[in-house]
Amino acid sequence: MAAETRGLAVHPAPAGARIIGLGAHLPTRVVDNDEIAPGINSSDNWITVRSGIARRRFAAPDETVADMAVEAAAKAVANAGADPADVDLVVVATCTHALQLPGAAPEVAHRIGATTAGAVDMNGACAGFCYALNSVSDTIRAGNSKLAVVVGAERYTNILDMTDRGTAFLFGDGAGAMVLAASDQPGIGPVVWGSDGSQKDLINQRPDEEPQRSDAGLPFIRMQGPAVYRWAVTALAAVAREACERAGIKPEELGAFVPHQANLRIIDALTRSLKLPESVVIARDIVEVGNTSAASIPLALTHLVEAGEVPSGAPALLLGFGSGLTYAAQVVLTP
Amino acid sequence: MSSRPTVVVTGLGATTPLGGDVASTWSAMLAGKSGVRTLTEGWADDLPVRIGAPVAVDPKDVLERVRARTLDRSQQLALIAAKEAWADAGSPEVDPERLAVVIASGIGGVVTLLTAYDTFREHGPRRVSPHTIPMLMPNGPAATVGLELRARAGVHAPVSACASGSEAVAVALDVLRAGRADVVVCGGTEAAIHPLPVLAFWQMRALSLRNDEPQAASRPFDKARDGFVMAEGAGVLVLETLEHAKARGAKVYAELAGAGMTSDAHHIAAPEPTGAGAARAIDLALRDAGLSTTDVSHVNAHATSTPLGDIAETLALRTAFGAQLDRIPVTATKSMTGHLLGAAGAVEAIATVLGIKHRICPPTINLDDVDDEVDIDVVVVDPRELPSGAGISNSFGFGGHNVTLAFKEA
Amino acid sequence: MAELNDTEILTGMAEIIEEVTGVPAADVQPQRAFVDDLEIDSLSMVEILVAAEERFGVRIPDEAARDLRTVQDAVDFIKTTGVPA
Repeated sequence: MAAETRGLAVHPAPAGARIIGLGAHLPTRVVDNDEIAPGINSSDNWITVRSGIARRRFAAPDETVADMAVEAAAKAVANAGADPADVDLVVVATCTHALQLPGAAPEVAHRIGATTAGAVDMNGACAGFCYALNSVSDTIRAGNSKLAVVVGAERYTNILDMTDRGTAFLFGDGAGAMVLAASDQPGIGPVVWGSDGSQKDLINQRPDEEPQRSDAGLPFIRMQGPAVYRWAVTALAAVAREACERAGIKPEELGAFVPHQANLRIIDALTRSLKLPESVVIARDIVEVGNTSAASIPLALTHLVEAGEVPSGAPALLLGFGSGLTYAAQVVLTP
Repeated sequence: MSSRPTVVVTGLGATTPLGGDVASTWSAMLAGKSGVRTLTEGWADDLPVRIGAPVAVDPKDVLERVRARTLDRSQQLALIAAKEAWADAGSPEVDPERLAVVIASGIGGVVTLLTAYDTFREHGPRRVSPHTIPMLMPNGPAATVGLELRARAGVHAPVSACASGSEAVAVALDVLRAGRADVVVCGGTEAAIHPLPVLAFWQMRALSLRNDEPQAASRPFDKARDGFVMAEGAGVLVLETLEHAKARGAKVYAELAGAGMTSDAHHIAAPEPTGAGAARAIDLALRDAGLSTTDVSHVNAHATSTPLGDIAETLALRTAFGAQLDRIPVTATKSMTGHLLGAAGAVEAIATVLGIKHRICPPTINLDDVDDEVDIDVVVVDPRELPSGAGISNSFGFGGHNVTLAFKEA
Repeated sequence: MAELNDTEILTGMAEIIEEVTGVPAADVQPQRAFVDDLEIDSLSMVEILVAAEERFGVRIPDEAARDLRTVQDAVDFIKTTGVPA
């Protein structure tokens, strides 16, 4: 007997999505290495040599993930010259929102004036922003959204053990946002993603083994740094090359390389593997803001563009990777 | 957000216990002088508190007699400071409908109020002056200045006790950013050295009882501090949009880059002991100004010399700045001026502006033995040279008001 | 109280007016109008009349005060119709 098949209606779809606005927010409190070092019996020099970090920002006591996301999102919408009431989708990539529910995105949408937007959080740890960016880009391409805001926002101080030599000096707080709009000229390339769940214990929280909690009441982040470093410098160069190929760009044609700001030594190693020439601007935001997880890529790109270091319309390679282990990368055109 | 006008300081005026104008006040501050003395008014002899800091130059020696007789002392001081600030700004030609005034005072014409009541009790109703209401109303100083300068864009008088003077500057910033005026004359005034206010503060255990050593009584952050010293005076700043200032070739002292205002909701007079509300005001001011904690070169603390208040402020600074606080000099100019109440925030704003312009921080005097809980770098003995950077001024008022102003180099 | 003559009252009024408003005593001529010529505002008028009441031992009720347009009007009132205080 012939089965009856039917399809559902779909939206008319544009050619793709493009980034039309960027925004960054950093808390005011600067914390330099000398403030962290005593707690981990270390020094400024030790921290700089291991990670390249000189200073990072810590959120104010009452400054939440949502608060920071709102600041960055509002700036991005203003930068895009858009009306927040026209935003129809807000996605917040974060892994340090203090609550399971509600997510941060509905509050962010409400507070920026995107009162009719869809809103959801996405947790991809340090790869979260690239996953979210791809997801929203595809959503626009499917005709399900016309104007969207993607935010990466983290308050790592919610899960940071200031006495842990493996993590205390690495992480910081902040938020970055991008506004995406439907466009006849796609400005967001195809994603390359993957994961390795067999290594899920390399970067994790361990509530069963550890009774102590952060001030926010959450289990601390723990990381096996050397193993993560090894994986990053060996596995990710190929991912980066593939993302460029899928976007139809040669690595040397890039205007900027914006990897997740995990560690300056990883960034430098990847730059060498990809044989990127001097013409490609390398994001090294980590020196000033530390590792801000899902916020690191939008923060770094926004800072580069605001400093005039990347011309408008230039291709930038974004490469997110981290806890899971999971990764996602794509080439985008800077607004 | 980026379309807000930049706001700058183009004129300064003051009359304080240290001097009858800005120049003499500032040089006395750098020299570590004290404006506190034994009160020589007869009524002070029998009071438990017999010290205070009256203005160095009596307004009667400055204002024309007939003008002065229909003004409460707080109005007189405000007028003197406003006239100096306006002249300092070049006495500009400003469209009256684009000129506003914001002058605060903690309690307005309290001396007029009390004296008029005495007059009524002793001499009957007809002897109460018809000028009494305009003299005692808390908006009196603001209205007087507005009248003098022909300001038609609005005359405002915010009240937040000891934070009033700073709040006036913050409100002026909002007026300019909202586009309601191109120039705003703002500041604070207070003249409440009279038996009743003195006794009322004394009954709250808020005042220093160091009657035998007046100049050592105001000692913020010191272990032996026992309360503040009442002072009077006025401070006025001329603020305008950078565009307006440039167009008329005005000299610019500094940029008023941001303000933060919060409230404790903790107690009607005592500060919230962890300084959380104050820390938020500092953070908001920095954010509003686009500053990070490493951009600040000095802090002009509120520090009134009370046992609780100085500690709460220390905690607030530590929360907001973290370890960065260790490389930021802090000073408490109330050690020299005493507590000018509603005028304090304005006079301290002036000190902060001059501090970043001349890159020098006035010392805190009487700090012989720092309280153990005060782990900040207080400038003592000599003024300290500052690197380039922004200046922060804090003011906290009875009622839980917290105001922080952030000034950047122009 | 001994009856006052015009000159005494005028001199007294001139002193009061100078004290309250700064208008020089010499300008306080009988035909001058308080508001139109001497530019004295309403609040100051109240002060002046209260001081005059005290000085000359008379009462100047509010309704009567309204009709005192010139200096001479006030002098006349004080001399003739002012009710002893």
